[in-house]
Amino acid sequence: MSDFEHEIEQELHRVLDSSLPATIPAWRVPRPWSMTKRILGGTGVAIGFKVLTGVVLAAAAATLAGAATETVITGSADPSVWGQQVKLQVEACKDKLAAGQHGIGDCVSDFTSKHEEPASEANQAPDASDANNPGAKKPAHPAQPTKSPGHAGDQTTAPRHPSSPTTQSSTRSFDRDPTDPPMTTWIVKATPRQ
Amino acid sequence: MESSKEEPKELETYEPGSDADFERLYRNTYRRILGTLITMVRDRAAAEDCTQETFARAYQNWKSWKPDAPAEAWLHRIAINVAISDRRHQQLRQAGEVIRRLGKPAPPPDPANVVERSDLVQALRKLPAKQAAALVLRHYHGYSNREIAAALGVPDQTVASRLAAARKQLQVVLGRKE
Repeated sequence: MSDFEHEIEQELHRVLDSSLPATIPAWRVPRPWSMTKRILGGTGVAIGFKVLTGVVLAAAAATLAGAATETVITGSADPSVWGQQVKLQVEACKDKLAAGQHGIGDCVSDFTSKHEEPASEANQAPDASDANNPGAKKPAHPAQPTKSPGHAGDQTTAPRHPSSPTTQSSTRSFDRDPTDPPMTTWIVKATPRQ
Repeated sequence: MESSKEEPKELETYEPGSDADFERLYRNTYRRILGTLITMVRDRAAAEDCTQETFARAYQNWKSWKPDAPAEAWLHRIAINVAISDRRHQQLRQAGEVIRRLGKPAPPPDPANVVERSDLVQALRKLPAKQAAALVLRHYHGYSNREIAAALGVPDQTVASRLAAARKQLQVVLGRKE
């Protein structure tokens, strides 16, 4: 061993032997995670949090969609206003009735129909092609209403009258009223034939 | 000499997976592992943290430890890896500390701390970690080159070359002539 190696050895012992602790800190066995901690602190929490977030977001989306629809129909974000408007309309319709006359259904229906149209237009507005050609999706003839697969047989066995109230909701815009313009004008505007 | 001779490591036998035997291994080797780490990491507090980290890692693998090599050599191998990791993290921390200390004088070292005043320890901390470890195992713990090779998992020749490089570097740093 060279002098330098001997010097290193002496210096290491001089420094380290005097600085090492006389007492050794107690050894504590690290505890493995219990099953409860695995469930509460691991994947279980992550999955549970994601599921809860999804449910909350879905509920919030449904609430906002309903409120937005009612707001478009009534023009107000306050639910009490929606009911108030309908109530006022019912009272007004009653006042219009003559003595002994019954039935305000048509009157109230006209009011609700007028408020539904802005809502349906708002739902179709994002489609640019529909906005430029409003009649593109409408049937070519009033006698051919939109068919649903479950009622195809009804159309052949029991044809409905074009002005029948049962078809009014789906084909109202195609029924001709006495105030409508002439038929030729209506066809050009609604369904341009190619 | 006291520290390296107080526990005759050849006589101690341990059963892998036994909590009682691990606690005995901890008591027998704590000071020796701490002594090695003091010469490898930045200060005494970091050396104590690294020592605890060494035993925590060892306990995780205690069941799979094979008694074909001395347990202390196995612990030293873990300790050297912990010290290397600590050095890497310290380099990252130093960048932020330099920025925070701009314009301020560095705090003086504690004069009562023998380790911090030792030129040899300061020079060892600047050596590559594996060279410093080989030197401490050889000249403080009294390991032979073969035992160091077994502890570090390298050939004997690698140990010899690391020791030679470490001595040469220390001579330059400490201003000694061969």
